[in-house]
Amino acid sequence: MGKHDAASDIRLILPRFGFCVSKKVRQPAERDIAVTPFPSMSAIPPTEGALDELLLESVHDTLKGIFGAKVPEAIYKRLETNYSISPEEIPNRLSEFVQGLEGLFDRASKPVERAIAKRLDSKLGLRFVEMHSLGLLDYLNEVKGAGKDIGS
Amino acid sequence: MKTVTEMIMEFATHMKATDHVIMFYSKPEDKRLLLFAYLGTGLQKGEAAAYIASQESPKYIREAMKTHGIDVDRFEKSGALHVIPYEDWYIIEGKFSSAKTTGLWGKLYEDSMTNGFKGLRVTGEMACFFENNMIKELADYEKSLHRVLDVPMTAICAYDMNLVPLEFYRELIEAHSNVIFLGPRDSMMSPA
Repeated sequence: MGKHDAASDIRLILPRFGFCVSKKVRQPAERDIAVTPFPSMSAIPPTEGALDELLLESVHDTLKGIFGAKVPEAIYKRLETNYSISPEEIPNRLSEFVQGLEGLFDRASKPVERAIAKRLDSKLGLRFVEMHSLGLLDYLNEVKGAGKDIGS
Repeated sequence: MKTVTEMIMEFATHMKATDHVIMFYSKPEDKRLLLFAYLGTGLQKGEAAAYIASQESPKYIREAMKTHGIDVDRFEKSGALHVIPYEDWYIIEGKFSSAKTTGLWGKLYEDSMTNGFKGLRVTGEMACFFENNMIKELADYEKSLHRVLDVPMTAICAYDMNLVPLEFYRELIEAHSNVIFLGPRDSMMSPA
């Protein structure tokens, strides 16, 4: 995989929802995995609701995959107690969810975030651009930003 | 209403024989606080206790225990307390043998009972396995001990969460009966 030039134009394709976007991205770091553009497709972005649902599934699947069946429930309980976030509110209160992960897992929260982003990516049918310095929030902003670009 | 930290401390101090708990921590001071409360309670109740040191030296652990209020000299002299370097317990002469370490636990338990102690509480810092690139051996060892220990002692396996690769959490957690997370700003406990 080759590196992109700064602010190069790449395409994010969401085959599951049948849309394709062009987006300006910053230059990836040396160790980042660059994305390979897919051929263009018709442009129908996922609805906000569908994206939220996929994000929730991705969070749950990832936490279960990493920590086993019982630990995710305890994590949700801590989030509810400390941040008053119920699981279904995670998509709308993502930064607090990320803070909650950091509070519990310290540096290990970043790989957890990336694993969630990667899981969501596969659900969306995207080709994951793994930026080691970036977290779940950056990733979601990219995906949402991509959807907005289509609409404009 | 009790705080999570209070609940975790209460759980750790009231653990029963054969409990095999895993604890992930991010700050060594949190680890020490919980482990010293766990071991100290046992010592006060007439049980024996062992601390296998790896991330921090036995000398440092002894001093920290004293600061915590444990009468280290008295308990060591009576044979109740053992602070042991990992090189004498886990990775002996550069090699790890699950059978050998399990045998050492069994012998320590038998000796403790012979010497009239009411039980045995143990803990081990597992950082040495990561530092010696023996993660696979560690996972196999943890599984061999089972969620419910064969030897009627209680154990807390202490893991620095900043050392554990993501892909090993599940395997390690599922080898234990309960899991404790001591994060930098929050803590929690869960069945494994």
